[in-house]
Amino acid sequence: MTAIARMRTGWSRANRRGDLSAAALALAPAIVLFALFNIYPLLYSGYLSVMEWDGFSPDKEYVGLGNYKALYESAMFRNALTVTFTYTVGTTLLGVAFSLLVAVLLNSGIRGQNIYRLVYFLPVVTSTVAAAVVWRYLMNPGSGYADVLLRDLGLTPPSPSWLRNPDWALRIVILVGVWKRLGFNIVIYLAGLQNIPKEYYEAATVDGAGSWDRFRRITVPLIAPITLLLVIMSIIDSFLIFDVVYVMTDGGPVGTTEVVGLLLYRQAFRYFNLGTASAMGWVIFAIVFAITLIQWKFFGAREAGL
Amino acid sequence: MITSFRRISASLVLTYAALTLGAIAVVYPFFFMVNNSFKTGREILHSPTALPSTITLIGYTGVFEELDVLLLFKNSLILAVSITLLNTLLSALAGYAFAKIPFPGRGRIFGFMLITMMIPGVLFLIPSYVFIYNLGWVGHYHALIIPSAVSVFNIFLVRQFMLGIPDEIVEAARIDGAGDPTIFMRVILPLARPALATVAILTFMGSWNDFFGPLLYLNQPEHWTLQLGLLQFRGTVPGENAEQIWALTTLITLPIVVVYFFIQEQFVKAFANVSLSK
Repeated sequence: MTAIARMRTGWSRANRRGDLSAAALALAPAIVLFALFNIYPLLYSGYLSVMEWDGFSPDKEYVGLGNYKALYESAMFRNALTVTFTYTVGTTLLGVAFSLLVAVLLNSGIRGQNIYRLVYFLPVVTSTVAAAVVWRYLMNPGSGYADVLLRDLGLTPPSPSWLRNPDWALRIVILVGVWKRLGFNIVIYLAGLQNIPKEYYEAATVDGAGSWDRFRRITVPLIAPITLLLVIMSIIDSFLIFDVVYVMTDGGPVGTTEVVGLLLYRQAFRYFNLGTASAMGWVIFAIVFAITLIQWKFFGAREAGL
Repeated sequence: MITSFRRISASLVLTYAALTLGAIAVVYPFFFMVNNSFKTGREILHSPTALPSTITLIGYTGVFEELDVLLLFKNSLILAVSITLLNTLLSALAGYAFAKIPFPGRGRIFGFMLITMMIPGVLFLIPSYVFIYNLGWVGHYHALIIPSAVSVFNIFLVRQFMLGIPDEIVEAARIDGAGDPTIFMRVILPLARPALATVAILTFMGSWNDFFGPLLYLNQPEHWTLQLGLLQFRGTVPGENAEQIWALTTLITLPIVVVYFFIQEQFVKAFANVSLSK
């Protein structure tokens, strides 16, 4: 009997016994996998975070909150948090501001809206590794596009070059983050803008409001729930950034792009401090959770006020 | 009359100019990549921004000699397709149970799953690795496929959509003597197609573009995916094989962009669905 046939007979038998067994059969695969690959790892990670373990030796040593205390005192972790905060704030603010601008322009009744949307959305579907490799070469010292462009304009590129320059490396990573995210924000904004009744704008125009006034007094407040949604999503994603940094800078120069995700990866898979890395995971979780909670409160209040 | 017409056209020109400038900036890296994939390494080094003086396929032929691109492609496809099929199927089943089968504890189980959605993936990284290592799965495809077969978020998406299907349709089918399997296959699945398309598109894209999972779990070169191939290739011969790197990044980017061009509406809708149902 094939697996599908077996499932089918089992299922119809279950149906006679009632809803519970039908539900159990439909849910069983998802629930089992969820328990094995979500719940179990979660509990295990909590356990590891109070242990000292290199991943190989049979013995783990109980250290209580030692791993957390070490993190609290670690300058490296503090640096990683600062870098991650800077990246998150930069990507979120620029990404949201630019995408609102583009979405409003796209929504102003121009032709070719679809083509523009297609182009702006392209980076969203591109593989991160490919994108990061391309950007690395664009920023290559000497032969990279950024240098060529600046030289053509008669300007001097910074020295040391972009990704090797402690002042510039993080800015470039933020730029790539914005580039990769912009199209997604635009699409969501466009969906929201199309829901604002045209009558509002018409009435405002009759009352003599200019385009800037209409934008400030109608668009911005009415689109606020979507802005907050995009900000929350962007913060969560940016805080957990790993892949772009891993490919583009690997945390350098001198730790100026070392985000917490990268530090955690390094602690776990290069230095094999599994306890420290697990504790780090929980601290990151706590921070993201707190930010989300505060924003949902704010979000809820805002929505009720509208 | 004339002045207002002029003002409108001036602001329109400005709008198009701003949008086009932005679009060029966004699309430039893609142009750079494809453009350089048709040059020789020497030409890339000396004039990276110019159009190719003569179009050459040396990068493409070279990368096929250096790397088993077809194998990498096949591996990426095997992974992405199996994960997408399994995940969509399990999301549909679980979504159906949560939306349309009343059973005791339904709300509580679903609520609990939703809360875990807020937990960032990094927290699972180490314990999952240790667990999968102990299962002896490292180095096998199922180390990636099985854990990715279930995503709470996708179940959530499907459930939300199925809640919108009127209960009367399900009831009518039940009165006609249909059991849950029939209702699921004949009534719910066809109606839930948009949600399932969303799940399938997002899952396929995520798994095709993923490099971190393969990096952790697929340590044998014969199992490498395109993303991993590119990552390793980039590391081995810096600068020497520029034309091959551009050919490879173009090849990696192409399939998903082509798919995106053909089903652009669904793609965009998929993303819009995701955030608007959050």
